[in-house]
Parts: sequence; structure tokens; C-alpha cells
Amino acid sequence: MLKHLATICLLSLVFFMPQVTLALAPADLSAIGDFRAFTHNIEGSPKKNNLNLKMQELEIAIQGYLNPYAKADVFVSSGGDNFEIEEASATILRGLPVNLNIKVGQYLVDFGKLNQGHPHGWSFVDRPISHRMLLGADGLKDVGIGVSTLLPIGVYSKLSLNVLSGRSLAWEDEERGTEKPMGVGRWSVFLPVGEHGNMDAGISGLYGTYLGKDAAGADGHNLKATMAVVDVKYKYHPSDYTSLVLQGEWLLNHRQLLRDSAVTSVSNGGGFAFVDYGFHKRFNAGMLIDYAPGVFDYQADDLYETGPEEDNNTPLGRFDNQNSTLSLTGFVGFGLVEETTLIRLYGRYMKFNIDDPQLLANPEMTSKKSQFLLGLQVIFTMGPHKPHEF
Amino acid sequence: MSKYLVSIAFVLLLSTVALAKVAIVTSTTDLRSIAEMIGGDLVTVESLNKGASNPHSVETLPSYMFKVSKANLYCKIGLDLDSWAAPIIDGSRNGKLVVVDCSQNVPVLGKPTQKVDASMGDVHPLGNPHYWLDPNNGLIIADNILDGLITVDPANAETYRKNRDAFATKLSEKLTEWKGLAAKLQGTEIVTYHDSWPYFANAFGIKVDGFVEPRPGIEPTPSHTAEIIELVKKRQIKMICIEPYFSDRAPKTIARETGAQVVVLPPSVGGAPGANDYLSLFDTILKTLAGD
Ligand SMILES: [Zn+2]
Repeated sequence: MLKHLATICLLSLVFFMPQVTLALAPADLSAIGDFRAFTHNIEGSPKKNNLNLKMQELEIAIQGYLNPYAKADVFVSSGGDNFEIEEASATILRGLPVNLNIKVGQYLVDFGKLNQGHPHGWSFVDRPISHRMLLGADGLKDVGIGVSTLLPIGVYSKLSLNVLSGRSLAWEDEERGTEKPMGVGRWSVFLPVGEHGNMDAGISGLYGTYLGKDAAGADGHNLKATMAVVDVKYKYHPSDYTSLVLQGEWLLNHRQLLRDSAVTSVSNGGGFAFVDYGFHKRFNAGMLIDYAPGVFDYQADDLYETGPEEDNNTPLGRFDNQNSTLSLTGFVGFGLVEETTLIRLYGRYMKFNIDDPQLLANPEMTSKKSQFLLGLQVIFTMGPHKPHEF
Repeated sequence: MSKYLVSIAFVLLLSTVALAKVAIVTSTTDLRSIAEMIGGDLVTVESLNKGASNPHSVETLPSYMFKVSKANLYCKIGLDLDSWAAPIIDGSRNGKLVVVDCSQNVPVLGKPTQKVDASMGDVHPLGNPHYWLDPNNGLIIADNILDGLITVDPANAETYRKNRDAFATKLSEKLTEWKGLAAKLQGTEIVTYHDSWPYFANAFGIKVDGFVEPRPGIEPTPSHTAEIIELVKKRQIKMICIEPYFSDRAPKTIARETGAQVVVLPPSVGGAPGANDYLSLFDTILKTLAGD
């Protein structure tokens, strides 16, 4: 009931916003829909070889200046019947000493480059499994304060530090742990390469602890998590009609966890790389290779609703150093008028490497070697044009 | 010895003063050229967009933010053409930056008379922003930049005013020359790719009969191209004018079917060889149209 009320309030806010904002300082309002049609050959799924149709997401974005010094960004999204806050943050843009920016609220943390983006902007359609397995289904999203500055060197170089609630670490556990503040930092450099090329490279680190619960639900185990990511992006963009993007990230993960009521630790890593070639202004095609620790269990994958909904009780890749998943995605896209209407065709092959079935919560997975998925995505965007970011 | 030191200190001081030029960043090369003429030796000017690139869709590169972070003055086109400048200016974190909207006081053409929405394509909602292509607006741009320069560097106001007057004189001389060049173009009917040329057409008595784009910012479609072919035949149009940053595929189809010529016109300084500054831009456009 309360949820429905909140949804109604939110929708009425959205509908009345344009009239209100035209008179006041206008905020940009946009709605982004993500529709999917897909089929797959996942053994055991009642939807195997079906034509599945899904409204994957509806995102509503409200963005605007608060005053000459600050702006705010609010994204709410619905994956089904209820809206939830995707991001809600305010940023002080200017007027602070040493070129500082301060951001507060709930936001996608600048841990690596990709994590700061929203999936509808990605040609390869879904969040890479390396990110989903190591950072979470929606990436690394948390509540906190971030400060960043531009370093006084001869090129654009940004240093950022975030103090976050730590819920993104604590809530991933089988039994929800108790969060403690965690820190995330990134240093990046942006360099022009030749006349039409640019590159961006960064390193990020994360350190946090939380109180984990054991199987009996007893609190009090202080668990440490350390992560790092290296990211590189290169884009060649000689004209509006042609572009080439090469981008990749490698994540390293070191975790403590409770296994049989004892604290133990796991070290592993994963990452992705893709190439995306844009041609004739409106077309693009490319390939993504993605490697993640752990087995990407379809029953935990709400994205493709492959079976009856089950508890998400599969240990994520960050706690698994024996098994792994390799995935290859091919994609072709067409933009009718820029981002307003995008049509993407994609195929994804996943190969599982199972060395230790003991680590799998879903024993069915042991008989699976691979799966294939073929999908069509249509993205529609209403609202002002977004700037073309690097 | 101490005298020697003092003179070294003096030279160092002088050189830092000489180095401390007013740093200007502009959205386009046309604004850069005018800013150079008003600022003279007292300024350094950089344009974010290149002359042969599309000013409607500039990527918000961090390297641009870096440039703006070091600037005193930013000159934008305004009228929503360079709305991409806002995230660049925000990303620069430059709290002392003075931003000049060069469209101020420009008599704007093509202001929509009804509510604009996306079904009409990428209509410029505040009116047509390609106003620098009327040389009479060059002086309005110069005055806007002058105001900005005086705000950031009042000590040199006199010099800037003198430079502005010199620019005005040169511009009016050139205007007479251009009117002469344009005399034989009077009433010439053309088709252009995008609606970039209404100010230019107005200033020089040229008539734009249609566009290769079916609607602003929308890629050519076969049916619209067929309509334009009919129009070109009916009105006996001789030139299909395109900007260097658009594909010549559809224009070439029209040319092939009608015998008209595809003419690449520089819409901005640096958009073609010879168009090296705001004044030679018009020389180049007019000569290209006249077929010289
Ligand atoms: Zn335009």
C-alpha cells in the first residue's frame, strides 16, 4: 500500500513537474524505456526456447541546477511495478577552494569508469558479468559523500575520494550484515591521442569492513573487503559518421567471509574488454568479452527471469575463487535519431568452468556447461538531448 | 650587484606580466577569430569546435574542461546551438570564469511561432543560431566580446575599444566589397543540407528553397530526397550547398538526377582552405558560390 502511494506521488510529481519548472528554474526531465525481446537455451528453465518479452526498465531522470554553484541529479527507475531511487545526489560544481567538487547523496560510485554509467548507454546491452559478480547486480551504488579535484598538472587529471555507508558491501552477504563506512578512491588521466583520438585511464581502490553474520545469524564478525580496478578507454572519433571505442577494466578482489562459522578469505579477479565501431552515423557493431569469478547462475538472474522466482541465495563471484564464467557478446545497433530510439540486436554465449561444485548454492548448475541468449533491445528516450560525453 | 639583481627582478616581473594574457575559450572558430581581433596581443584564444566540424554536436571532452579551467572568458554562440558548452564549463570548476553569450542583441531569425516538439525534428527552439553568417551580426558579436573583455581586464579597456573600432571599419569596407561580389548572385536559388544559411541568404540576396534534411537534424530519407529532386528540377536550382561535416551521399544523388552541382561551403572559419578568419570566411563563401 505504502509502496503504491509512493509510486503515485512520484508519478504525479513527474507529470506536474514540466508546468512547474517552466515558470521556475527549469529542470531537465527525461524518461527512458528499455524493452527486450529474447530467447535462450538455458536447460531447466521453463522459458527455454520461448519468445520472452519484457519491459526491462523505465527510468525517469530529473536533472538541473540548484543555484549558480550546484546541481542535482535524480534518477528513479522501475524494473517492474515499483519505482526505486536509482540515484539522488547534489553536486557543488564551483566556488570551492583547490577546484574541489563535493557530491552527496546516493550515486553510482566512480570505481572504474564503466560503473558511473547507466546500462542504456552501453552498446553491449547488459552490465558485464564481471561487474555484476564482483560489484553487484546494479553495480557499485551507495550513499555517501564524494570529493574530487583536478590535479595541477599539464593535463586533465582527476582525483576523487568517497566515504560511503558501506551498505553495498554489507548487504551483499547471504545474511544481511551490518554496514560500516567504507572508502573508495579513483585517479584518472585524460589524454588526447593524435588529432581525432582521446584516451582515459584510471586506477581505483576500495577498502571497507562490515559486521557479517554467521549461519546462525549471530553478528559480530568483522569482515574486510579490498578491491582495485584498472580502467582504460580509447576513442577514435574523426567525424559524426565514424567512431571506434576500445575499452576495458580489470577488477581485483580480496574478501574475508564466513565459511562454516570461521573467517576465511578469497582472492580473485575479473574483467571485460570491448570494441564498438560506429559507422554511417547511425549504426554500430562490436564485441564484448567478459570474465568473472563464480558461476553466473541463471536462477539468480532476475534480468532474464529464466525460471520461477527464487531467493537470490547464490554466492556471488566475489566469494568464489574456484569456478568462473566466460562470456562473449556480439552486438549490432541502429539509432533512428541519436539516443531517442535505439534498436540493438545482441547474442551472448556463456561458458562455465566448474572446479568446485561445493561453492555453488544451486547444485543444478554443476551439469551446465554453457548457455546462449539472443535478444532484441529497444531503448526510447524522451526529453532534452544528452551531451555527448567521452 | 644589487642594481643587477633589481634589473633581473624587473625583467622577470615584466615577463610574467607579458605572460599573463587574458585566456579566452570560444565555442566556435568564428568567435575565436573575432575575439582575436578585439583582444589583439593581450589575449590568447582557443576554440573548442574545429572549423570543419559540426557545432551542433561537440563531445564534452575532459581536455576541453581542462582548457576552460585555465580561462578568464568563455564566448558561446547561445540560442541552444552550443548547449554542450554547459557541461564543459561545469566540468572546468572555474569559479572566476566570465561567460559571454554572443547572441545577445542579435536579431534572431526563425523563432518558432508554435510549440516545438521532437516530432518536428531538432528544431532550434530559440530561433536559428547560425547568426554569425550575416556579417552585420559580426559587429554585434564583437560588442558582446568587448563587454566580456572589459569585465575581465578593465585596465586594457581602451585598447580593446580601439581594436573593436578598427574591426568595425575593416568590416564595413569588406561589406561593400562583398556586396559587389554578391551582386551577380542576387536572387540565386539554392538548396542547403541544413538550415544553416538563412542569415547569410538574407544578407546577400540569396534564396534557400529547400533542405536535404527532411527536418532539422534528421538524416535524409529517400522520399524527401525525391521531393527535393523534383524541387531542384522545377526551380532549375544549380547548387546543392553542404557543410563539410555532412555526408555528401544524398546531395550527390540529387545532383546526379538534376544536373545541379554539390558545393561544399565553409560555415565557419577553418571550414575550407582560405577561410582563415572571420573576414576571409565571407570572401571564401562568396567566391565559392560565384564559382571562382
Ligand atoms: Zn542548426
